[in-house]
Amino acid sequence: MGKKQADKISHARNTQIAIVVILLLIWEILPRYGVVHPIILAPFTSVIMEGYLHYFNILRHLGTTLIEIVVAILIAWVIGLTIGLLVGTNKTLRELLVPLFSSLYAVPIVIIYPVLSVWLGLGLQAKYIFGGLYGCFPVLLNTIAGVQSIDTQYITVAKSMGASKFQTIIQIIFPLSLPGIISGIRLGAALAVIGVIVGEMLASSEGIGFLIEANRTIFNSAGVYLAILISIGIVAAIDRILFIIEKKTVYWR
Amino acid sequence: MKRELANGGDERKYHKSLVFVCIGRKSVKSKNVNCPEYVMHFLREFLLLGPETDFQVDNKTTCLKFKAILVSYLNLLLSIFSGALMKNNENNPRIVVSVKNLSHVFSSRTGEIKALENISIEVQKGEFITLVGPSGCGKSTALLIIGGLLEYQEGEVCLYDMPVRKPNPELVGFVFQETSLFPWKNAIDNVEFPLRIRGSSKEQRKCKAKELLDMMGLGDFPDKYPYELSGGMQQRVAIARGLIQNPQVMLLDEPFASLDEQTRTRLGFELLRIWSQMKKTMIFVTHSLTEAVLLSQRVIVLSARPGRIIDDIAIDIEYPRTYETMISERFAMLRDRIRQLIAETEVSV
Repeated sequence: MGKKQADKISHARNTQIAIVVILLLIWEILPRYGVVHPIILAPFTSVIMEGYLHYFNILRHLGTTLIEIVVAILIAWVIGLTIGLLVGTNKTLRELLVPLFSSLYAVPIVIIYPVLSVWLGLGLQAKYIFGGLYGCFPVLLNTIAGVQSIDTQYITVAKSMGASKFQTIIQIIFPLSLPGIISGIRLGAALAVIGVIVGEMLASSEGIGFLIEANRTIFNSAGVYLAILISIGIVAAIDRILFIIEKKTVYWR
Repeated sequence: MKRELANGGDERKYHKSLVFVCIGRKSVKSKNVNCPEYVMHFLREFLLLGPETDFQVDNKTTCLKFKAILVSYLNLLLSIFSGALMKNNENNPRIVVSVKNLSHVFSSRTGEIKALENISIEVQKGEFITLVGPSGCGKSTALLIIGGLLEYQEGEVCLYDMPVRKPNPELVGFVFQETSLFPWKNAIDNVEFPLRIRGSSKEQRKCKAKELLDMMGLGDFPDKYPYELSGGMQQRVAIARGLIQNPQVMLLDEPFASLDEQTRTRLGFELLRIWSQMKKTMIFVTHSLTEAVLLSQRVIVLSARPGRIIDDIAIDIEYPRTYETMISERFAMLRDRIRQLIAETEVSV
């Protein structure tokens, strides 16, 4: 890396850090000096304080949420990928189902939650199925798009070697559509997390979403902001991990 | 009926060993067993494929496919009880590929396109022939049909007297035009892939793939990825991949089209070396008349769409062919003749 490039990168880094620091300062100063009412925007330090005081409780809720998130993501990926590969490789299914899936994807999933909670109750199950369902659509649609984008020459090559349909899908179509699939997976994970947290907000007695809602009702803004920060942290962390994985798997592009 | 076989053994012995092999099919299918040479010879004799077919034999162990064993066993029973000889290819001059009155029509958005009209080709064992013709004349289509990758409607296409309906990877190897290598696999994984999907064991695959890469001059680059290799090297890997199942027939669809002139000629000579070493039947499709005349024994000239056979020109220059061949008079004369034929067909259309 040349010196100029290194300089540019560290310059950009410094700018990013500077922006964050400034925002944090604003966050702290605005409510403290009465510009914004502390209930609307709890000062940053009080948010940290809240975390420090109740950390054990918060960790417990975080644990629940994380478990639900992991299960939801796995459901979203597995279902989305399987159906995506099956539909993507089959012309009739594709023409039939893709318009349907696209429309369903556009529906705000929170509408479905009342129905789901009647079917599944209010326990953990409802949350991760909800998250899984929400997250499976982008995986599905992106997998199908990924499969569509393959150069058919590779399929011809596979046929010339005598590969069966199943072998072709797993060994050739899947690796080739990986770029599309991975972007679907990243989106699906993010949506699954949102689905889980929203589910917790709507009807739950545990988890980060519940914390948001519970603190809201008692006007404990610090608590609300803390829970929101934690949620953002979860999404960011997951996305970052997936980004690194993506870089590693699609090296051949 | 007693049959005398080359090494002088007698039939009952073979019968027993085949029974053994059939009963022990599980061990044959999943592991390598030591198989006596006479059984191999016996199988070759009775299978329709002809005596020189290789069963992926290597020196130490032999791996047999159950289907082959079963077929030969049944053939043996048939021949014993009926006393009739199985179809023996030694009488006819061993026509490997036989195309008779093939026509093919594509249906597209704009209507029907007639790609090939009534073409008939016969290729003998071990021949190197080339199909040439103007763009769009259907030569690639013909190649795909011969390889079983395209379903034809009219006519007859036979490989070793068996009609072609779908790809037969053990008999036919393909080398495609542009990079057809799997970009996420390195060179050796690409080459061994056809064996992998047929279920060969790992050591066998790797061993054979390494051998072929060495033969193509890429022994030092087994773990390079396609994007790390030059165009010429990529096509060498593609050729190695086409050869790995040891097919009797190789179909090459403009394999060197995307390469520069020098590499193209060099790879052409490599191909000739492989052809003379392994004695395969080669059907080559190209745009380049130089290449066609340089490499093949016969050049079949197709007309512009719909492709018809205009002429079948024998290249009577002797092998091995070299750079000197390219500057000889005979070479130039043949090439110009072909060029003329093609020009005439383009004009008339």
